[in-house]
Amino acid sequence: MQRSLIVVMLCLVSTLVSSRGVYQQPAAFIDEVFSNNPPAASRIWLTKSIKQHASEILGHKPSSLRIRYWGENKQTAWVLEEIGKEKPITVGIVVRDNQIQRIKVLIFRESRGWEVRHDFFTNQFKGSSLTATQTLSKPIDGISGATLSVRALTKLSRLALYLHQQTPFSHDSP
Amino acid sequence: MTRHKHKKKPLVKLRSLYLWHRYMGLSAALLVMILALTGIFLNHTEKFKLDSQFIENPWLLDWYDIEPPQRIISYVAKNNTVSLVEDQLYLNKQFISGHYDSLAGAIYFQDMIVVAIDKQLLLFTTEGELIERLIDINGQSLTLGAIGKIGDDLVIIQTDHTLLTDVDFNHWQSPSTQQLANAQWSSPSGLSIEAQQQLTHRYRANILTLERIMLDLHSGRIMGNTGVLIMDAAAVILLLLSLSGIWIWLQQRFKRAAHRPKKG
Repeated sequence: MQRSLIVVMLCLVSTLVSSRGVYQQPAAFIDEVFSNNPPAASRIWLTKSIKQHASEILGHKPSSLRIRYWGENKQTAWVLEEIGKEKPITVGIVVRDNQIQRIKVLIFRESRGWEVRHDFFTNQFKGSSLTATQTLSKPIDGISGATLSVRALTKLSRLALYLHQQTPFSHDSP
Repeated sequence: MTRHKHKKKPLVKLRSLYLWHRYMGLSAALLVMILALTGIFLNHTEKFKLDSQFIENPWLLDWYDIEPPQRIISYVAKNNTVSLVEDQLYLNKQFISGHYDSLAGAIYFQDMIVVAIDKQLLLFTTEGELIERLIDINGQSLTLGAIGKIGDDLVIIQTDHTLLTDVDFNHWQSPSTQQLANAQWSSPSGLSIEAQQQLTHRYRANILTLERIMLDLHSGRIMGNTGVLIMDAAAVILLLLSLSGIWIWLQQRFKRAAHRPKKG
């Protein structure tokens, strides 16, 4: 009984220890998205209007004046960061045809809410687009105990969709 | 006479209980108010933004033993001073969010301040707005050892090896011997005593949050172990108050029932 309790405790500790960290380097994510042949990085300047919309989506002012992305055909890939509770979560997002094609937690630094990195959660975002009110077209089920991380990922998805619309890659091939 | 004594005894007891109840209430009032108020604030930490409001009061900072920084490293980039104070980064007097370990240098480049810190390059406007945070060099996460520029068009950095890039910061390549010879590396700069004092004040004022104060007031830890015992005592008194209150109420209820004229 005591031994099995120790095993359970060890499993729990190892899960917690492994929950924080780098799951994939941002550059490796971009390489993977573009089959190891990524296009040159582009940048979008947050003009007054874009900044205002981005602020509405994030609930605060964006932390930088320009954001780097990679675009090809009708697809863009973004590496964005948003604070869950205290520390930034780095997320890779791929948008194609104005819909989320893929979202992946790349670096997780918080002590709680790491469950958002699992596929069962991130798969919910696939196919989501931005509505006229700048919300996601599909409902996202939360995870108890990871509310702030869920909120952060939802905000970043909306931001990536909005920013994608501002790039030349949201229309026909540039 | 004996009967008279028998009648008075419960009244004296009740009065005594009243007095105890009153004194307990008075002695715990202030602590209960602190408990209640801090509890309300802590229940709404996010709304009141307690975790993002910092205490600047020197007396409180001293009370919490928040020491002045041991390490201040500064670089000057065209009239702009970039300083790492322990783990806090400042551009002039402006605090840059995040925690940092090692400042490698700062340069003025194409109307931007480029700061090399840990494994990232931070690009700022001269007004202090963050333009971009570059977290990879040629797709790799590299620790930066130094930064400089070659003329006005190229940025050079030192990692495991030396690399240079242009204003796009997209492609990095090794410099030629000629370019390396022309590199102007950023080097640490001394600060005036006044500037050091200002940074020290800002550093200390960026550590203690209002949330910490509320938590410590609530638990009594702001006064150390004695404070915790005082708050424990307040909690016990609160418990006794509830019990004595119920007891007084029951006594009065029984007394009224006893004095009520019987029907029929």
